[in-house]
Amino acid sequence: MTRTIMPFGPQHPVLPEPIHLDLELEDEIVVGARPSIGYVHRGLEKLCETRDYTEFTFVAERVCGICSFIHGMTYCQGIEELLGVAIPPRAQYLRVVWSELSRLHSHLLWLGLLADAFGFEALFMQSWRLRELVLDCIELTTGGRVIFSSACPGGVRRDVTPDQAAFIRGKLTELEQRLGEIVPAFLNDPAVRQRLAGVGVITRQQAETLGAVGPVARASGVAMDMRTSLRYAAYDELPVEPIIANDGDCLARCRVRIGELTQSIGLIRTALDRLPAGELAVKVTGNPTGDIFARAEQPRGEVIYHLKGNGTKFLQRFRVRTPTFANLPALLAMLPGSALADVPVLVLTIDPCISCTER
Amino acid sequence: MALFTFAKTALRNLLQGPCTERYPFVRRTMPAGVRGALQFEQATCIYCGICAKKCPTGALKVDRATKTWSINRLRCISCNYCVAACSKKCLQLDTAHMAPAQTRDREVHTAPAPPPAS
Amino acid sequence: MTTTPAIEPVTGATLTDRAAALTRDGWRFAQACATTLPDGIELTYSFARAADLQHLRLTLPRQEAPPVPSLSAICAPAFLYENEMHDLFGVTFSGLTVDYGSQFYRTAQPFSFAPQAEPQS
Repeated sequence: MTRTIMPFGPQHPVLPEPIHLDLELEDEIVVGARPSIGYVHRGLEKLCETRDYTEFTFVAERVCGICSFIHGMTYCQGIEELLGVAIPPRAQYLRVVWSELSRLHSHLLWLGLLADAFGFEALFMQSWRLRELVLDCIELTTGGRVIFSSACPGGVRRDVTPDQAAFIRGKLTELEQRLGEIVPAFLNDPAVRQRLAGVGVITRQQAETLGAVGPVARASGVAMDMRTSLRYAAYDELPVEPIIANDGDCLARCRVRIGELTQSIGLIRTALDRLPAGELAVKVTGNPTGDIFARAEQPRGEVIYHLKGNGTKFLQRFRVRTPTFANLPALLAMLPGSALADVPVLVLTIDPCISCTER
Repeated sequence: MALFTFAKTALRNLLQGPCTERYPFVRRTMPAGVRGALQFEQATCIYCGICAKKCPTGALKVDRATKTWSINRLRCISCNYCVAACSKKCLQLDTAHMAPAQTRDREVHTAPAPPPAS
Repeated sequence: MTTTPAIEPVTGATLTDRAAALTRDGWRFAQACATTLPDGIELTYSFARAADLQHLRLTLPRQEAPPVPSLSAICAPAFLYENEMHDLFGVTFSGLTVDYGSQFYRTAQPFSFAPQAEPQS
């Protein structure tokens, strides 16, 4: 029995983002893992001292490229709570539309990376081809494919016209139909099942003790979804329930995210149908004072924003607790006992966003 | 459990050919509203400096005394703040992306000197 | 999201007891962060239950702060946040279940968020 320490990362086959794990191996079974992060640390939290709070939305949404809009939106929600501002209903619904579009593109990206992690490159390409449909919708309505720049403290900066809404609906119909063609490859294919079923099991008890959030928790049976518990933005008027699976393995997490794709398509359609007329934003004046904790449901789970204002136009503290950081203990619990060949799949199954983790 | 789950997609892809466009021979028409490179129309600018104040990255600098408007292209994030703030509407975001820059110098526009009064 | 967050000041002696009481009551450990104040460092621990959040706040002096008792034995995920606070802010914890030395959050300049020796102008 040879014991080796294998450095996994920062360049590794599973993500374009760097994460370092020192894996202790006995032959080819992992017995321990030691994480090390900081490779994409940009010190964004410290930038709040030099960028005033209205401009800081642009920094907040650049914390991550995949969950960009929800970062910007949660930051704006925090500022609006601190200043006691209520945003117009049209802005609430538009924020929901863009959040769900964000969730769609993030989950499709993850499905592609998952297929790539176990070597099914053709399925990876097909998933990302479907993602292009969502990115077209995002580009048309916000002007950018990845960084939306459409949330601002007080509301939203751009509108979705009826033509754009019709375009989105058309793309969603096409997405639904093509999704139905690739989902059987993820859930029913025997070769894929061999890589996903029974791998990286987290029990419900473990998910609760380790503080897992998002699809990682929901796949282990924990009914946790910030959209249903907090009902922020326009979610109090939209039908949304957490999608649960009970097996706790990689296949269950895959099933939960695919279920959320279908849920998001339905939510976007409902939100576009019910889009109220009205203003896009209210004016925000004054400087924030005091503490606020804002939460939202990102594609990866619960994100907590801690904003602290001291009466000046610069925030005293800007702290983001991203869902990947909360899921890292779950990852470190999954790794011991797994085979080395499964490590890429396990790392990917928590949907890691290392830019979010390191800010 | 199902076999050949991917066969239909693979066969269709084989017969239909690539779904990507043959860039640069075929260029995509960008939808209106895409936030690309900033365009500046010097003739209408009054050098009030509001765009420079609003710019979150500090990419714009305006000097009223010398009638100079300059932009650091590499700092511009195409956020549209300056376009919305300009009272004379002399700023627009083109749908084409910023061309690659070879230097980090600012792009400076100075108003031409008025013709000498005769 | 509450308009005024429920923040409870604690000391080094009462921190672990309060955290244990909250965990017994069904509150889940959500996050821990450190904030640099002009005259010290402030640690905030957040606990979540359904739609509510509750926070414990501990203030440390700028220099020669005593080691903070770690919550990692009570709330398993706390070890990661405490390692991060140590690596970025230089806060020391006693009783960490998993201690990565200073190798968890690697930055070119160690303790990059720590308050500077002289106050910034």
